[in-house]
Amino acid sequence: MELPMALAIAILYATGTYMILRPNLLRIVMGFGLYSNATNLLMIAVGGYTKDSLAPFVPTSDQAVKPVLMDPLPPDIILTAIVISFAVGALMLIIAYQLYKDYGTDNPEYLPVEDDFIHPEIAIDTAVARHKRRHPHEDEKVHYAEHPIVHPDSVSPLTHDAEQEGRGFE
Amino acid sequence: MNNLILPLLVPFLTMLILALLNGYYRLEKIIAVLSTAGLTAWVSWLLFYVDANGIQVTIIGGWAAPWGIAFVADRLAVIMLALSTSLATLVQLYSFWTVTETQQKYFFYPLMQGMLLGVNWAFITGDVFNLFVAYEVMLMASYGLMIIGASPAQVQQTFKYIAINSIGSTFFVVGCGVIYSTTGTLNMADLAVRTAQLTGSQAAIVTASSMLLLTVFALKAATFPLIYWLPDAYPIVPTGVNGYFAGILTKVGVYSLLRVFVMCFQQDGRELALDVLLVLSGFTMLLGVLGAMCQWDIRHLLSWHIISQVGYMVMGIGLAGHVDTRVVELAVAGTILHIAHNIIVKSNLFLISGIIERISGSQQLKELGGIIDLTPGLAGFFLIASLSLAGMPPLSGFLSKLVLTQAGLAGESYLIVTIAVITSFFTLYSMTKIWSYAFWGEHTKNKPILSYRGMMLPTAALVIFTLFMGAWAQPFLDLAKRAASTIIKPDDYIQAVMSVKQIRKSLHHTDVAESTAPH
Repeated sequence: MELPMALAIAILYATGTYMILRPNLLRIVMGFGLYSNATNLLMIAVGGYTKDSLAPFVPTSDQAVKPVLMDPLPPDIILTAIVISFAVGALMLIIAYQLYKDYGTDNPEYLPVEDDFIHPEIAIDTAVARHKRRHPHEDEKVHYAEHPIVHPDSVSPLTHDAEQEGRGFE
Repeated sequence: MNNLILPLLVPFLTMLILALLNGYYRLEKIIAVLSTAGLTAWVSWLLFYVDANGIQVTIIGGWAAPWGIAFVADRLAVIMLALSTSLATLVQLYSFWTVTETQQKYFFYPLMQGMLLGVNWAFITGDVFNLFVAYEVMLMASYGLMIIGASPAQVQQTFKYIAINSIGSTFFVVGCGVIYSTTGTLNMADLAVRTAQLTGSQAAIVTASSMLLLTVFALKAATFPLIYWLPDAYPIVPTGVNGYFAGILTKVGVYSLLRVFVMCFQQDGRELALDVLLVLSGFTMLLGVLGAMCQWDIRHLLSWHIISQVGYMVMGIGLAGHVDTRVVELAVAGTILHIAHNIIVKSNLFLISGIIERISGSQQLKELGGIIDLTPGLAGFFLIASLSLAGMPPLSGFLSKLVLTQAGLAGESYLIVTIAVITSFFTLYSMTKIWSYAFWGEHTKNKPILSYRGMMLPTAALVIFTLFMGAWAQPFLDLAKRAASTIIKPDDYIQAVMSVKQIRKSLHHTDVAESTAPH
C-alpha cells in the first residue's frame, strides 16, 4: 500500500507546486487545494493504513482473534485539516475574484509592487518597464492599455477609498 | 483549578455576542473592552498563582494526559497570556477613536476577539496539533482584519499573506504527521519524554522532520530568509489594530520556537536546529535594520524593525543549544524578556504612528514636521519608546539586550554579539530619522488636526510599563529566569501534565458487558 500512496502524494505535491508557480491567481488557489489533499494522503500513510485494519471501535462481543485496529488520531487530524483548508480556499477564491475586479487582471505579475504605492508618479514607468523586462519578446500593445493602475489619471491605490465607490464586501 | 479554558471561552463568547450585536456600534466597543479587561484581570491573578503554586493543567475531554488534549499554564505561557490580553485591551480602547462605522459593520471587533482567541489558544495549548489549529484560528481572523474595507492595496497584500501562510500550514501538518509517525505522540510533555529516549537514526528522523516545523515557526516569526512578506503586509492593516499585529503575531512564532525547539525536542542532535536558528538570527537582525534604514514611510520603517527585533529573540533561542546550562538559562531568560519588552514597545510605536497620522494626515517622513510644537507629550512618548527599542538604559530594551549579550559572551558567540550591538546602533539611527523628520522642523501642512487626546491613554499606559520594566528590573529578570528554567528542564512540566487523573472511566470489554447486562 505504501508505494502507490507515496507516488500519489509525490504527484499531488509536484502538480500543486507547478500550479502555485503559474502566474494565474486561480491556479494558485487550485495549487493550494492540491497541497492540502497531498497532505491529507500523507497523514493517512502516516497512520499505517493496511487492508486488514479495522475502525477503532471497541467490539461489544468477545472475539477470538484480536483485530488490528487503525490508529484513530491521523483521521482526526485529517478531518480538522480538511475543514481548515476548505475555509482558507474559499476565502482565497473570494479575494482572487476581488483582485480581478480591482485590477482587471488575474496575472499576479501585472499587479503593482510596493514601490508603486509609495511613488505613484513613477508607478506607470516601473510597471511597464518591469513587464518589458520580464517578457522581452511579447507584443507591445498587450495588457497595459486598459489597466487601471497604469492609467495616468488613476489615483494611488493606497489613498484610494473603497467606500467612495460604495464597494466593500458585497 | 480546572478553568484554563477561560482564556479561550471568554473571547469566543464575546466574539459571538459582538457578531450578533452588529449595528450597535457604541455598545460593541464597550462590551469588547470590558470583556477583555476582565480577562486581563483574571490572567494577571493567574500569573501570580502559577508563579507561586506551580504549573496548572486542564485536560479537555476527561482523558488522561497523552490522549486527552492538555491545556498547560506554566510561567512562560501565563506571561504571554498576560501580555496578549492586556495589549488587546489597550488596542481595543485605542480603536474607540480610530475604527470607523464601516469597519465595525464588517465585524471589526468580532474579528479582533477571534484573533485574541487564536493567540491565547496558541499560548496555552500543550499539544502540537492544537497549536496548528490555534494558528489557523489566529490567521483566519488576521486575514479578516487585514482586508477590512477591501481597498485594492489591501486585497492584493492579503492574497499574498494568505498564500504564504497556506504554505506554512501545509508544512505544519506534514511536520506533525512525520513526528507523530516517529514518536507516536503529539502531546508536548509526552514528546519531551519520548524524544529524550531516541538515539541514532530515529533521533535523526525527528531532527529532520523538526526542520519542517522550524520553517513554519520561522515563517510566522519573520526570520531570515522568510521575512519579505512582513513589510508588505503589515503597513496595510487598519490603524490601531496594527499595534496588535506588530506586537503579538510574530511573537507567537517566536514563542512556538521556544516551546517546541527548546522544550519538546530533547533527542540527540537537537542542537542542529538551534545552531541553524543562531545563524539565521544574525541575518535577520542585520537585514531587518538595513531594510528599516532606507524606508521613508513610518509604517514601513517600523515593520522592518519588527524583523530586526525578532532576530534578537531568535538569537536567544539559538544560544540555548550551548552545553553550559547557565548560558542556556540566561539566553532563554533574555529571549522571554525581549519578547515582553518588544510586545510593549513595538505596538506602542505603531499606536504612536497612528496618532502622528491623525495629527498631520500623512505617514511619509518627508511630508511631516514640527509635531513636537503641536504635542510635546506625544514627542516624549515617542522618544521613550524609540530609545527603549534601541536599547538605551534605563529602559526595558536595555535590560533584555544586556541579558542576551551576557549570554552570548558567556557562550563565546562573539560574532553574533557583535552583530547584535551593531544592529542596536543602526536601530538608534533609524529612530533618530523618524525623530528628526517628524518631530523637529516646521509644521508645513495646514490640514485640520483630528482629535487624538483619548488615543494618548493606551500609549501612556504602554510607556509607563516600559519605564517600569526598565527601572524595576530585578523582579522581571527573576520571573524570566524562573520561566526559563521550566522550559529548559521540562521535568516539572512533564510531571504536572502526566499526573492529571483520568476523569472518564476507561472502557474495557468487561465494562461494556457489565453496562449492557441487566442488573
